[in-house]
This record gives sequence, structure tokens and C-alpha cells, in this order.
Amino acid sequence: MAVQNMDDWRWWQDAVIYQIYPRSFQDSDADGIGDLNGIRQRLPYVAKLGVDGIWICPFVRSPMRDFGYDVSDFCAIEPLFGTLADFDALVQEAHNLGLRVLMDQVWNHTSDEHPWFIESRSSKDNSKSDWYVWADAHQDGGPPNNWRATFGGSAWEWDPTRHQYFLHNFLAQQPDLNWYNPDVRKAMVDIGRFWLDRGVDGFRLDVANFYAHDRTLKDNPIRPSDQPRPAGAALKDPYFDFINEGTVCRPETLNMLKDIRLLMNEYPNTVALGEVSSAEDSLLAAADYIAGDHRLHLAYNASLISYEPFTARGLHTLFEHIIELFPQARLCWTFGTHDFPRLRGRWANHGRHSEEIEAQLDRLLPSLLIGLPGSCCIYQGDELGLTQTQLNFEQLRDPYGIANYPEILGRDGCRTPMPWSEHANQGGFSDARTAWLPLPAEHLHLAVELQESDPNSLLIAYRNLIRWRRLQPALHGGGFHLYPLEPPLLQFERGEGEQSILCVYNFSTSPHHHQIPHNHLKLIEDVSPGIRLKGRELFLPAYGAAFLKKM
Amino acid sequence: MKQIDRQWWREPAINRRAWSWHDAHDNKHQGEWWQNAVIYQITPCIYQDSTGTGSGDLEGIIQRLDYISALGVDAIWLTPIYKSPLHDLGYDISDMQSIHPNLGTMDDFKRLVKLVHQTGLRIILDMVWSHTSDQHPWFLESKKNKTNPKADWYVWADPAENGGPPNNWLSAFNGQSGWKYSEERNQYYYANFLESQPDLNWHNTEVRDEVLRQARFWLDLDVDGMRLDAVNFYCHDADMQDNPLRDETHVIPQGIDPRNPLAKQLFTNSFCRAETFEFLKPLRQLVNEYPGVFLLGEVTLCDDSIKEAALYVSGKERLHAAYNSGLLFKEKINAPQLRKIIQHAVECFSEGGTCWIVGNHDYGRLRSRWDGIENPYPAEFYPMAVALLLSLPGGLCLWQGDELGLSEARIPEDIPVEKMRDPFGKLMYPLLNGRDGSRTPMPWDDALKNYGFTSADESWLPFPESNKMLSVARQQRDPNSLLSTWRSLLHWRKNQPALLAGTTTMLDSGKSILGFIREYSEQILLCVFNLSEEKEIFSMQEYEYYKPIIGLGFQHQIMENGDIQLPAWGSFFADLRSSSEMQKFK
Repeated sequence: MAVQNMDDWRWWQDAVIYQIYPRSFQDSDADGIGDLNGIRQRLPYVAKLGVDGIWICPFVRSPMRDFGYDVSDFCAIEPLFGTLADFDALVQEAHNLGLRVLMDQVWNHTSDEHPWFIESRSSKDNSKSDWYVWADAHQDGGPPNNWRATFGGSAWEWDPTRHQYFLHNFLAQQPDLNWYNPDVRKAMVDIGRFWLDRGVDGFRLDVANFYAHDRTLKDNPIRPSDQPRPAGAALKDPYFDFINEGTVCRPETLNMLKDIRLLMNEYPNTVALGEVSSAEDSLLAAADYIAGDHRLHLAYNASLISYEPFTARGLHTLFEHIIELFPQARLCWTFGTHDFPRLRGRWANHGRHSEEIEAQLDRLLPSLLIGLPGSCCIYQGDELGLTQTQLNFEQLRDPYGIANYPEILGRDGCRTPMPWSEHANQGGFSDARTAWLPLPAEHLHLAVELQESDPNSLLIAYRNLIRWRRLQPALHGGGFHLYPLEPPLLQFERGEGEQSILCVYNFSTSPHHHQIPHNHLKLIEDVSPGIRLKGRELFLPAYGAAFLKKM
Repeated sequence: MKQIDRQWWREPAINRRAWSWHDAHDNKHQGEWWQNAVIYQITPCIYQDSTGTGSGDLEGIIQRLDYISALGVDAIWLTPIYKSPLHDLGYDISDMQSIHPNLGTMDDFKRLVKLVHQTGLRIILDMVWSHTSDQHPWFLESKKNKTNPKADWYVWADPAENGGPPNNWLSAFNGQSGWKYSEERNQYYYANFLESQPDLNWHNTEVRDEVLRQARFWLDLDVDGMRLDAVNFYCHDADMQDNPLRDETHVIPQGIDPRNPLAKQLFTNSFCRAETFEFLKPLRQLVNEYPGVFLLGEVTLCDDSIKEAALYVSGKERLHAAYNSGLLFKEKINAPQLRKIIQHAVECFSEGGTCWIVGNHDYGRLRSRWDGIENPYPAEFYPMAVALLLSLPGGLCLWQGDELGLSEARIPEDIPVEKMRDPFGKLMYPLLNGRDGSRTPMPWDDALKNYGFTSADESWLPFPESNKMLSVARQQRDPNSLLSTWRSLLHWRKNQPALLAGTTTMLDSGKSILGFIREYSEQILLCVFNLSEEKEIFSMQEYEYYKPIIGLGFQHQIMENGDIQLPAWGSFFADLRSSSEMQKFK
């Protein structure tokens, strides 16, 4: 990948974006649920991390069947989270701190309580009758076809008033909007404009690759036993027993993105970041969604959300693929979101290592993230090394987890509240006696307050890496040169010429000696502890990461 | 020469990513981070108390790093943290390689340094090498007799023929003779400040070598800069000639109260000596071994502070930067005077290295500046002042609490006379109030006891009533507060190469308006400030194309002919790149 003319470079092309799940970030009114004013209180913490922006998960009006991803009014703040004035203040305060604000827009579907759906389901000939995806029953009286909902069961729900089925790729309370209808697309653009006018810097578009469906309503084929499941898919998830080609990544969607892009173009320096989820090839799909100037600016891909431990070989193949697919390095990486098990301990069932080695791994991962070309998202709490919380059935709140229990445990385990302070009520998250999800005792010793004052903590390591990256011209821009594979090492060079940086990662649990490719390189101290360089001989401890610069 | 690697946090700041475009190098400015740094000055004992003693400490600063980092400053400067009898806020040191037990331990300090760097900030320590405490072991030894090994480490002289002080040199503190008689030695020693702060004798090579040893000690602990207290006081005239008297042809230096007897003399012999430049060479050589570390001189109390400060940074063998007292004038703020000062600084500091102060622990608060106590400015004035200060070429020292717009505590209304701390104030009261008014502790949260500064019943100095509405907690909640203005402009500035490293061209913009253009690489930034209480028009006829910069919280009106109307105390920024160039940067 070549270095581009930096004049055309945009902030979001190498941004580090901190993802905030508002229910669990900070509660300001003692109801046990986080809110916008809570986020405002914690903005200095976020700013101090050195990130470029925040992405806040949905906080607009919602009956909360899927915690905000079921919207009943796109232009009103959910009272649980605060008011429009609170949001305006949040945006301004974030901007004052140099942070951009991305809003989560859930445009694939609405809540079944949205007035549009209430009207749409009332008859076959009302003004919104074609705003959702309606179909008659199959000849046998069952659903129109075999499509599955990602949250389990059929993707079709019978409506007794209209005597038709409606499509829902997620919960039955989340009917899919009919993106083939131009009025629907216009309504979405109007919503986008409403928020852009309030000063937001961009949108994260929820499940953007689900917008269109196959209008022929053909059955989805069963997954052949030799076809691997997509990255990020839970092992036992029945949804992936099929290849969901009728509902996911329809080519029609790509043309529909133009309206969104034209809207964004009216607001310079804003970004549309698509979530491309459940795709068979996450990277290929992400590349499709950003190709040219008429689709999205960015799409994050799930290729680093792996249930198998990373290997140098696997990553090398992945990055070779990247070079082909993303010549402009318009990439957005993530290790996890509110939808996936926590990064820390994700590979625990492949064997635990000594604490020292685990700690090295904890630092290797963000070192990889900030070394890669493109932008990235960091999910709240990953910077603290929070582990997946084990909850019992009574404690579950996620409809996906409840529906699939105990086969799939759902997403509550990565959504427990942020531990701010070890000894405060609810770890400083809330003054309420109980929080909406319990804050596990084992997270208290990872509290922000404790890690802030410990120079060797993971939080400080994240902050160090993010801030260091900001100062490195080589880590901005697209310059990326991958060296031939030498397992267990992964080695690439970022930037060009004088300012280039060599990044070397050891993906094994044993220390490794390595000959670096050039003379006259020096280690960048303090970013990579435990590493030694003598001439061209580099010593990397288990899961060590090294950054080297020209002397 | 020993050369250690440059730590990443000291890399040239100009290489930082801008919002929308990337910058290259500038040889003139060397791209060093300190050329344009905003330095937040902290006096630890009044910042945050973590132990309930009523007095702040290093751990307290660690607790507040979030706040400092969010503010958007580049570095912190700690006023002295060493062992001291605390006769002068720690500027009277009795052990230069220690931490004052009130503030914590050496381990606390090392942890602070590490955490500061990991927050992307740098840390600057205050080095007091003009004098020591009279309790310093060196002085205790020196004063014993005329033959001990430290006998010549301080400035000793025999009495005048009449038994009085050896010459007419006056203390900068109390305006009385700076000479103090020591019965043990039957000699006078000289002290430019308090009599408990005897001046070190910089003509003695042993003293200068010792200073280098002290410097290396702290450099090895990873500090990023050293602020040299009273650097223009290091040397005195070795022949000890009288200072000449000031006549009407000489203006009184900025920062000196005309009522202070010191104002009657010219300071050509007691301080501001050219020998100092020679003595700074080895210090600079030492610091050169630590790339990215810089020396910041305090050059004040001289006739032309800007010119004098520039002498301290000229060439490559003196200091890296020096701050001056040019902005500390008494008159109401006005465009002609500021224009002259800025132009003077631009000319004097042709190679960079300038740094401004507007409030500090010695000179009082930003809010008192420019006759602000007698004739307070309206609220609209302060956001403009912030924008103006942050648009000046060079660095800026920001005194803790000035980001909140704290006003000076009054004596005795806010601070009872018996609670005064400042020795200078105690000496001069009621003629002068001294410096306690600007040294009240940080008001963090008005809902908490002692504003959250301390859990003790009594704090270092009491909080003035006027702090109530100005607490950090209150201002954080208000996006339009002065604190929010500082934050947003500081973060904005970080991404304006023209403000960080640009050239400065003053505009002839009349009596009421101060205007200048900052230019660097592709960015041409017009900065206009209305320094009057009336609406004013700024002519834009000279500019073919401009694009107003909006979103900074300032109002303006574009007239039909393209001119700009600014409200009273208004600010206006515009991008002057040609329209075809602008297309590229959309």
C-alpha cells in the first residue's frame, strides 16, 4: 500500500474510535442505567485515552427490546438516557475536548412500536403499507421461506391484522424496513440530516449489509459441511447453518448507499462507518461497502474477532488479502464490540498461560491494533482488560441470550457496567442499589482509578500506545509493507523513508530471537517493554511486540 | 558526548497529525514541542490534597491528571517541590535533590513523571539556582568563617567604611538593602529576594559545577524541561559597584509596582549581568545530551523584558526559551500597545524561543491583568483574551486557576491578615498585599467541603467567596464557561499549524482592533480581536478570498461589502487561502 498525498487524507482514515455502550458507561441519576450526562462526566477520561472520537450506541427513543437497537422515534432521546439538551451539551463538550462524536443509526429496521410500523401493519393499503417487508404465507400456510432471524427462529412473523408475514432479521419486535421503497430511504436521509445539523461528526450504520433483501424470496441454501463459518460467528449459532444470501450482503444494497453518501458530502469531514456483520467474507464485504465515492466512507470488519488464537500465519494471510482489497487503506479494525465476547480471555478455552504471558498478550493485541493501517474501534472496558462476565439465566437481559440459552450465552457478559472506582457503590458506575446488569466483583480490581495510578497497568499501556501512535507520521497514511512470513513472527513496515516504523510481533508463548531486515534501527523505548536489540539481533519475549525506527 | 535517545513524547510536535492535512518540517522552528507549548503551571501545595493535611501534594496531581490532560495543555510546570523551610513557596531550597515531605516521596515523583508521559504531557521542574535557603548546608557552612570550603559559594562582602551595607543594591522583594550582616563572618551576604535566600556566587566555578550536577540528577529522572527561576539574577557585578539611579527618561519595568523602592534604581550591577550568558554554556551543553529537553528562563524585572529575554535564547549556547513580562502592563488593554509588544517580540525572537506569561504565582491572576481589579472587564472580554493569548507566536504559561477565571482573593476580606502566607506580602502589608491573592487553592467542586481540595478542616489559604460560581465542577457542566472556552481553543490550536509554528505579520488595524496574520505552510490564518467596548468594523477589502472559521463560540457579522463587524470584545478568525486552494482542504 502506497503512501497517499496527505492533503486528501481525512481524520477518520486513521482515527481511534472509542465505543461507548451508554447503558453501562456511567449512571448520573441513580436509576442503575447509564445515561448521556454520565458520558459527559466521563469525557475527560475518554479524552485522556488519546482517542480521536467516540461512537455512542443508540440512545434514541426505544422500547428497549434490544436495548436501543429497536427504535420507536429516530429524532428523540430516550428519556432513560436524558434529553436533547443533554445530547447537545455532550456534543459540544466532546468537541471542546477534541473528540468527534459518531452516532449509532439503526436504519435496517425499527421497533414494532414505531408509528410507521403501527400504521403499516394496520392494513394493506395505508400510506406506510409498503414501508416494511410484507409477504403472504407459503402455500402450506407457513412462513414465506426458510430465512432465519439472527436472534433465532424464523425471520418471518405472522401479523393477524394484515394476514401477512413481515420480515425481521433480528427480533420479531424489530421489523425490517423496506429499503426498496424510496420514501423509506428519504426518511432515513432526513433523520441523518436532523443529527448532522446538531453537530455530530458521523454515523455508525448498524447492520448496513442487511438493508436490502432478495425480492424473489428464494430459500437460503444450507451451509455445506466444508464451508467455514464467518469470522465472529459463535460456534453453535444455528443462524449460520445456512448461507444467508437472501438477507445478507445483497448487491442491491450497495446502490442504496448513494443517498446516504450524498447527504454526508453536504457536511464536510463527517463519516459514515458501516457495520458489516454476518457476511460470509467480512473483508470482501467491507471492501464492497466502501468502494468508489458513492458508498460509505468506512466499514469495520470482523476479521480480527476470532475465537481461535491469532497465529502469525493466519494474520499474514489476512493482511495479504487486505493489501489486495483495500488499496487505499480505508480500513476500520475492531477486536470486539457490545455484540461479541470480551477480548480478554476470548481464547481461554485454548489453554491458559502464566499470568506474565497473559499480560504480554494483553499488550500485544493493542500494539497490533495501533500498528495496522486504517482506523480502529476500541470497545469500552477492553482498555481495562475486563473479562467476559459469567451470568446465570436470571441475570440475563439480552433477548438473544435469553432466546438461545444455554446454547449461546448472549451478549450480556460484555455489557456489564464500567468499574470506575474499586470501593465506590457499584464500582462508581451508579449510586443505585442495583445496576441493570451486575458489576462483577472480579472487575473491581481492574477499576479505572486503580489502573490510572499504576504505571504498569493495561490502561496505561493502551493510553501510551494510542498517544504514541498519534505522534508517528508513519502510522498515519496508508504505507504498509508486509514482510515474508517467518512464524511465529509477524513483521511489517509502516510509512516510508526516514519516518518508517518496523513493527514486529511474536505470536508464540516462547521468547524468540530474530534478525531484523535492516541495520541502523533502534527500538522505540517505553512502548515495548522487555525487548532487547543488539545490532540486528532482536529479542522478543513471549507475545512480545516491538516497534523500531531508523536511527 | 553522551547522547541518550529522544523519548517519543519529546518528538517534534509539528509532526503531529493535523485534522485534515499533514505537515512537514520547518527548519527555523526545528519543530520542537516546546516552541509552541502551552505550559500549565502548578503549585503542588495548592492543587490537590490527597492526604487530608490541608496542603496539596504530588499524589493529588496524579489524581487530577485527567483534568489537566482534558484541558489540552502540552506540559505541566511544577513550582519547587524540594525540601525547604517554605519561607517563599519553596523557592528557598535546603536540599536540591529531595522531595519535600509535605508533597510526597521520590517514588511518588517518579510515578508522577511516568504517568505524565503516558498521558502525552511533559513535565517541567522549577530550578532555583540563583540562591538557596539560608538553611541549606552549603550556606550553614559558608557563613561559619572566611576559610571554609564553601566560604566563597555565596556573595560575601565587607561592610562599607561606615559599617553599613557594601553598596546600594536593593532586594527585589522588599525594596530595602539586599545586604544582610552576619556576625559570625563580620561580613554582609547579598540576597536579591528574602534575606533567608542568600544568593549563590556564580563567579565561583565550584558553584557552577555543582549546578550542573544538580541538573543532571533531574535530567536522569526524565524531566522534559527546567524552568530557571530568576535566571537574570544569577550573576552580580564582581566589583560590586552601585546601581545607577533611574531618572525620568527610563520607564518602570513591567511587573514592578511603582511604589516599590526598587523602581528607583537601574539594575545594571545587582543583576542582569552579561557574564551570565557565558556561564549558561555548559548547562546548555549538558541539556543537549537529552534531546527534546529544554531550558526555560524566567527573565523579568528588567527594563525591556522582551529584549532581555531574547538575549537569553540567542544562538545555540544559551537557553532554549525564555518568558518575558511584556504582557504585564498596568494600563487598560489596548490595541496599539499590544501591537507594539507583539511586534517587538517577533523581531527580538527571530529564531523562536519566546514564551508569554499573563498570570502566575508572582504576578497575580489573568483576571487582575490590565487594570482588571480597579476596572473589571465584562464577561465577554475573557473568551477573547483566551483566543488572543493562544494566537500569539511562541509558548504560553497558564497559571493554575486562570483557566477558571478566578479572581484575586482580597486581603483582609477573603484572607484575614493573620492567615497570610506570602513573606513578601507580610513584609509589605498594608502598602502592598503580596501574592497570596492569586495563590488560593483550586476550587474543584463547590458542592464539597473545601471545594474538594482537601478533606482537612482548614486549607492552605481560605477560598474566596468569588470562587463559588467558578468551580471546575460547575464550569465543566457548562459548555459555554470560560473553562470550556480554554479547552476548546486549546484543542483547536493543537491542529492549527499556523498558530503552532507560523510566522506573524502585524496588521495596521487602528486603535480598537488588534489584527495579525499567522502563516505556516499551506495555512494562512487571519486573527482579529476587538479590544474595545464598542462594535467595530474590520476591513476585508485587501483579501480576495476568505473563509470565516466558525464553531469557536465567537460571533461576527459579514457586511454587504465583505467587511466584518465584531461585537465589543469580539474575536474573528478566517482562513485566507485562495478559493482554488480551499477546494483541496474541504
